[in-house]
Amino acid sequence: MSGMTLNMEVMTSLRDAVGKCLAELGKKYDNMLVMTADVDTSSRIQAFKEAFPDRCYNVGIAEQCLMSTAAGLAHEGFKPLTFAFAPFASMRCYEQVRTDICYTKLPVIIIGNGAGYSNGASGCTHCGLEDSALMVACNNMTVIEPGDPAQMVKVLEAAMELNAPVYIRLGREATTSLYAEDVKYEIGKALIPREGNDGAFVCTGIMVHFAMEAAKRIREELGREIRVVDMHTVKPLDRDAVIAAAKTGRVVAAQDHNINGGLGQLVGSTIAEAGITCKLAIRGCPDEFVPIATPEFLYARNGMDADGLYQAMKALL
Amino acid sequence: MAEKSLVRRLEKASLDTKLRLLDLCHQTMIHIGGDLSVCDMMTALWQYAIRYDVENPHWDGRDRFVLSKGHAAAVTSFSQAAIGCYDVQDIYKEYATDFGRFGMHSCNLANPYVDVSTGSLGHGMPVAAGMAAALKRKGSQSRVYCVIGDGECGEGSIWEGAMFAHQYQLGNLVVFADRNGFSFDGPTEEYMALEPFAGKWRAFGWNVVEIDGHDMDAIIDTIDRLPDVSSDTPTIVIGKTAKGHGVSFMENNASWHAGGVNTEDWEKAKAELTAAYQEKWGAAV
Repeated sequence: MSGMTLNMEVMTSLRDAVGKCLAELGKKYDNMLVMTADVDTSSRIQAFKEAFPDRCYNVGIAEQCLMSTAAGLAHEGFKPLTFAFAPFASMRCYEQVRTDICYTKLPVIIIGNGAGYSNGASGCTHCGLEDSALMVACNNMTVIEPGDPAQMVKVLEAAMELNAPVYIRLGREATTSLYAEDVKYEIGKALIPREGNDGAFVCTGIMVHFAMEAAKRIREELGREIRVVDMHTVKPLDRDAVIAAAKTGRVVAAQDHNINGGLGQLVGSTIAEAGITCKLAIRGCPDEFVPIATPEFLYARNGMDADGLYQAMKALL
Repeated sequence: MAEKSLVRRLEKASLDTKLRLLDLCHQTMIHIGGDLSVCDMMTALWQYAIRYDVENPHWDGRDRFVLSKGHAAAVTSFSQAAIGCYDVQDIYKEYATDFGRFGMHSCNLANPYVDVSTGSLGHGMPVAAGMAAALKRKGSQSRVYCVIGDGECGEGSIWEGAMFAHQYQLGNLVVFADRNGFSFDGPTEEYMALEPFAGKWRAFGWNVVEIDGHDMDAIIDTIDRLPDVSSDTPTIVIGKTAKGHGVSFMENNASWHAGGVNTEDWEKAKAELTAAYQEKWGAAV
């Protein structure tokens, strides 16, 4: 993480939502701990830290240690929330996550910041483009990618109640909000922020916002109604929501993640297994590394922004 | 100096475990080299140091045990059998069988007497540190005992855990290092040198005790003199041991990291171990 320049003054809504929520959760769960690997500031844990200074661990730049010690604490009845940047929270300590946490199904919540291309300007090392695939491949792991501040609060509450390993990937922040604060949220049950039967976007995180824009534009320009499925839980996947989306005949699946191992492939195999004939396009990061670039550039380059999703769906209509 | 009768009792207990290990090794493949090197310390841990309730393996007041060198599962299982966790015969019957409780590495899903599943090296010690942090939070008087191999200290995660234990002042964490000088491929100093091993731990802020890991008197003495649970400094006991200890053709021979023994070797090995005990204590086994 050395050499990285972060503007700590920039308020980012998802992480701020996490920060506010943590302190509240800490009051509710006296066995909740917050652990980070030298990302206290960027993870917005300050409110929790101020309220419960003795319930925080910062293990330094040591993600393997973060996961193993969290496992040890969970063995003894504590509920640790661990924070690290998505690529380091997933790849650097993958075996610790798999063997120390998931094998025994310990209640450790792992929050990976900077997922997808959201850290693009920091370069390849800081882009978490494999984390979802890795965590999905981990038995006993639940994988969630919220895209909205109100949803994020619900995700944390649900994750605390689950009493099992949960990976929460936080990617590019949206400037708009999709849900009211009282949004009904259930792990594994997709949300539908926009109805439609001429096709469906199945997306996570920031891609849901882009899909909403694309669907609106399709309505305005082409007069067709496209459903937007917010597949916030990547695992376990809401198969019913995918099958219902496939029955519209056209699905564009998008995740800010490598296409290989990403949401699109999970959606595709679900549709194929269900025996449904459906046009399918997958958007995400192709099988190539790119040098330093801004998220906006990368989303546009790979057809993952609102225009890219619009074009992908238009081609299926 | 420990009481002579205690030393003799534990040395006899260790001999019993070694003979059982050889019986199992005659039956199937086990990590016999590392089992034998850590057997004396393991015996003292389970049959002298660890506070435990066999009837209630999840008793909150127990001392915790984490086998970071997870491949020493057989010696751990026999040591636990010696205090009544299982019948010794169960180990012969179930070892490496479908859904058996015992295998080449420890598994907590199959066996309630295993706190942490291990096998991948460099994992158990930092997990043990996390458990020690948890016990410290709870104000528990329990210790976390952890057995590591020297070879696994090639894993950076061991040193991350060492820093964590120092930073969070985990005086309730006691690590026993089986410094047998060998990893899978051969001598540690030849492949990836660990010396100055004790110096490394001292530099990481640990309380370091160096002993002959086969000297039961010294092992008992070390256990008796462990710092108080509420102390601020984690302890590592570095036991200098020999891989395949006590069996002439296995000792310090990397090819006996894991394997099975044929009948001739099996009998020879058991005879050697028994003779050594009898020579010291002058008694029939």
